[in-house]
Amino acid sequence: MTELKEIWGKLDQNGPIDKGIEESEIRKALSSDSLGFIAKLKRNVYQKLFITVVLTVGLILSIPFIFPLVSQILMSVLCAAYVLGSLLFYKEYSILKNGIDMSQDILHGLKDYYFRIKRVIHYEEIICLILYPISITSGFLFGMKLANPAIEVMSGPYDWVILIVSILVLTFLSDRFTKWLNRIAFESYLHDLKNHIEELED
Amino acid sequence: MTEKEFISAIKKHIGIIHKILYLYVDDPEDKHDLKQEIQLQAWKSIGKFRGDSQFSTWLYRVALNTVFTYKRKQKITTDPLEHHDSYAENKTEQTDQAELLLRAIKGLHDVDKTIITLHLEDYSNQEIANITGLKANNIGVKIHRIKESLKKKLNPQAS
Repeated sequence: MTELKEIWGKLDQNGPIDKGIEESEIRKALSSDSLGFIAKLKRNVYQKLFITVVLTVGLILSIPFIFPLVSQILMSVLCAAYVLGSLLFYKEYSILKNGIDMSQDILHGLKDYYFRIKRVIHYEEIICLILYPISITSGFLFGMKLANPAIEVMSGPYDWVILIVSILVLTFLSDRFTKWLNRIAFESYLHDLKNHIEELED
Repeated sequence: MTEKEFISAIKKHIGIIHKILYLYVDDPEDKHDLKQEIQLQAWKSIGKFRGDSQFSTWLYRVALNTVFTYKRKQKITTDPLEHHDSYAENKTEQTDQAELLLRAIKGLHDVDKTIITLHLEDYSNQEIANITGLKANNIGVKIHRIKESLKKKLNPQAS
């Protein structure tokens, strides 16, 4: 091994490793946005939180102007779903907001990263179960009303059956779709993190 | 540490970042992005540098954490020694030997790469354990195994 250390010591003389750095390059790096996975995820969640809050406020302000009563009720249900969605997005954001300590040892850094992303995925799946089916169903019913204002939407039991079945079907489909999207976005990355964690714990 | 002191420390230890980039990353875009990200993460974590370890040790920890948690566009999948034409001819040249060693290390798994690089940089087993989170009594065994693997890569005729 001493021989290998001696060879290693010759690296700095000539070799494929770059040499030096300009101060301007360092200053540019210090003022740049993070390109890390969690930083990108945090920006993405912040955008979703912002949009959800804006939509929530818009919905709340429009309730008094919606008629008939059943539409107001639907709108209120939608508002409640958006409020809950906003809270859950905020919860996700606060998980990601606290930066990971990159000066801790690699094993704990990796574990922090891995479990934080798993928690975010968990909240994303809860949000999809609450927000998306209700949004889509409500949007569908409002669209029906707008297309033919003469029709009294939700006037009979048949309409309610359609509504409930729609929510159940859309909830199931949203859950599958969200899990599929999460697999595409996160699976290989989490797999790599997990492999490294297992190697270090071995 | 002020920004000026930090910049000065980075300039002094930039070799650590460059070595890590060479060993862990092939894609030029990844290299550029990671180089920037390591410096940024080091600056963000500078408040946690208490001076009880050397700046180089602390920088290794930050740099390796950044590399391990970065979503690389391209992983190193081929053995970097496979296409080295002058592998047999220039074995006696010290700098070529160093390059061969570097390439052999580059072909290892990420965790093995980390352990052997820190060992070659003269970190003790306990220091390596502090940086990686591995148990100190496992380090010696792993170094021995990695050394055998490197010897086989560098001297395939002998093995």
